[in-house]
Amino acid sequence: MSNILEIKNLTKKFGDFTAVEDVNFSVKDGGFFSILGSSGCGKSTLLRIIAGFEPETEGEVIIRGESMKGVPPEKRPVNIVFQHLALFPMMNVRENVAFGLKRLKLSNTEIDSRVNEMLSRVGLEGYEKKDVTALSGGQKQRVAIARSLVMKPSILLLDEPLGALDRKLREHMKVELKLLQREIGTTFIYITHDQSEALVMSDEIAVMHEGRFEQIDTPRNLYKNPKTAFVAGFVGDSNRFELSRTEGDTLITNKGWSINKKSSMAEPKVLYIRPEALIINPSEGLTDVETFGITIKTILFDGSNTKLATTVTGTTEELLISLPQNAEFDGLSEGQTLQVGVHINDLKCY
Amino acid sequence: MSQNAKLQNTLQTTKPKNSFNVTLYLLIIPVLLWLVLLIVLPHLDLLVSSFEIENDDGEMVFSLANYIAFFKEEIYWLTFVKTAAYAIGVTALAFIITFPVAFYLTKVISKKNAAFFILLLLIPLWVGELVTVYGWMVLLGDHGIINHFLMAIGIVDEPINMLYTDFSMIIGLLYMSMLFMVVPVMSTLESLDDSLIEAASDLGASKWTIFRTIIIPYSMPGIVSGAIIVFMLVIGDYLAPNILGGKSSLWFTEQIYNKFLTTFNWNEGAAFGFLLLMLSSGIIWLALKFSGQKLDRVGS
Repeated sequence: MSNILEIKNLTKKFGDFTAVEDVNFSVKDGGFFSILGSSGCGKSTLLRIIAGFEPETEGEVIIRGESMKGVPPEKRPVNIVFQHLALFPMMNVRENVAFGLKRLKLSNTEIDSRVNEMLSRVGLEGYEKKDVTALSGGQKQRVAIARSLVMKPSILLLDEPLGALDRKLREHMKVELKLLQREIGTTFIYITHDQSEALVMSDEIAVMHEGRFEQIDTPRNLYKNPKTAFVAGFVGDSNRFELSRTEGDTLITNKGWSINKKSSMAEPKVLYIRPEALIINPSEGLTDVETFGITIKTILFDGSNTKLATTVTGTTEELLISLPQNAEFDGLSEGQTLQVGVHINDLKCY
Repeated sequence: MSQNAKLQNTLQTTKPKNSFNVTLYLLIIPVLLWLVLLIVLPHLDLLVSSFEIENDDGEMVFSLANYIAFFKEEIYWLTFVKTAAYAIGVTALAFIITFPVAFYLTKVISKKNAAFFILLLLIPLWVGELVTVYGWMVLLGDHGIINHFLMAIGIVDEPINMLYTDFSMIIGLLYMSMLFMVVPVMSTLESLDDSLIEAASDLGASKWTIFRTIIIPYSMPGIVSGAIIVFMLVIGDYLAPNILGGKSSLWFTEQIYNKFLTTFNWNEGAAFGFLLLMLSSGIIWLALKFSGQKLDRVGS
């Protein structure tokens, strides 16, 4: 597969403030690429540069091998789904979806057939004459996506389009969007601050922080092998420990907890351990597993996401441990002490 | 007490219908008085007198003569048509001139700067129409500032006759009514999300197409409500046509004024007044029909 989009050394400055700093990446044709970052990290600016609404300060946007320098938004082969959708309130569903096609000066029959095809694809047959203001949140979402997809763009840009939906609908639309993308094969570039959206839908995720890309990887790799401390802390839940020093293979935290990590790097500063990486009551004789004692402070019940809030015995370090809901640990109570193990590969130092 | 009776009891005690109605009536009374005493009653009186003439015995009798007089005398209905046409023209001009201003104030410059410019726009309202009309006389007269300047830099040798023409009258009418177009148009433009414009541009629309298919339709309620106000003000204005328009630029309000105060023919004046009312209402009704706007939406 070839690269449909290439971003080379892209920098955007607003006065003294650098919103996007020296960003490089490429997206494969037909891929689902997410840019994940907290608000204000520059991800929306990056998207607006790709769409052509903001000129870049330095660097280049290349779509299908062509430089987009100086090409206005209406001439770029990309379409965008806005955060607040930006449906045209004075037009009905059909007119909204047909808006872009009319600009291409297509015949009425072709416009009609393409609009109908797209509306049935997003499950909105029979809604042609409806006022867009009368639709539900999920339906508006689909109109916005249909309005962009009907243009057959090389790349569809999505700027946190699920942000305004309630949680149930968001979970549903997440799956729907991913299936839609697979079905039509258009390249999606998806901006979000919600890591779950990014992890579920994407082929590749770029984690953005203060205008820079921290890591570009598959969702699995991003979660399993975060390359930087920011990614380890931002993607998924993690227990974070400040390290004061190392003694040989032993890491010593600020609050006096020491744990062995055999393949230690030079001068690590922080240690991350995922709650689900901790094994309660590990069997004897496992290799490369560090074991230590903990005391349960409280049980945070949250269905399948239930966690134990504990302290490492003998220190004041606090540790969250995922608690599998398979009845094995139903008898646990506050104040109880347990043995816990962790594989040394799950000790992430930065 | 049966279940039903209990329910009714609760309903009666919880429903504050009577007290609510009293408050509502108290609040409505001033409005009703205003409408009935100052608008409905005088108009009814005028309507009745417009259908009356004095017979040979000095009694008032029913007649259509006042209306027939209007259609018989060419100058009356020519003025009538001219007034209508000019009022529509001035409204259109007011829209053309003020829409870019409203767009600039709401979409281009910052809110802080916009507040300052809006204040500047309001200044003519503080001094009153008569003063601004005299201001235009100072500017446009044969020995006025504009002619003086044009002659000083040698563009013309003799003063251009601008005052007491249709031109000066239109300027005066525009100047006093324009602001009433800016305000409603600005309020609709303010609610226009910039991302609608970006979305249209993203879908391949040129600037002109965005203006035609997004911005204008979106601000239509504001444009129509501004147009109604401007049109009403212009068609019923007396000062600007009378002072700036001079002898050749007759306005229908001047005809009505003449009937009432020069020839003391109140009955014919009343008929003329009603014709003007019907004209302006008719044109506004047509405009609402044509633009597909509803009066209640425009009013809000």
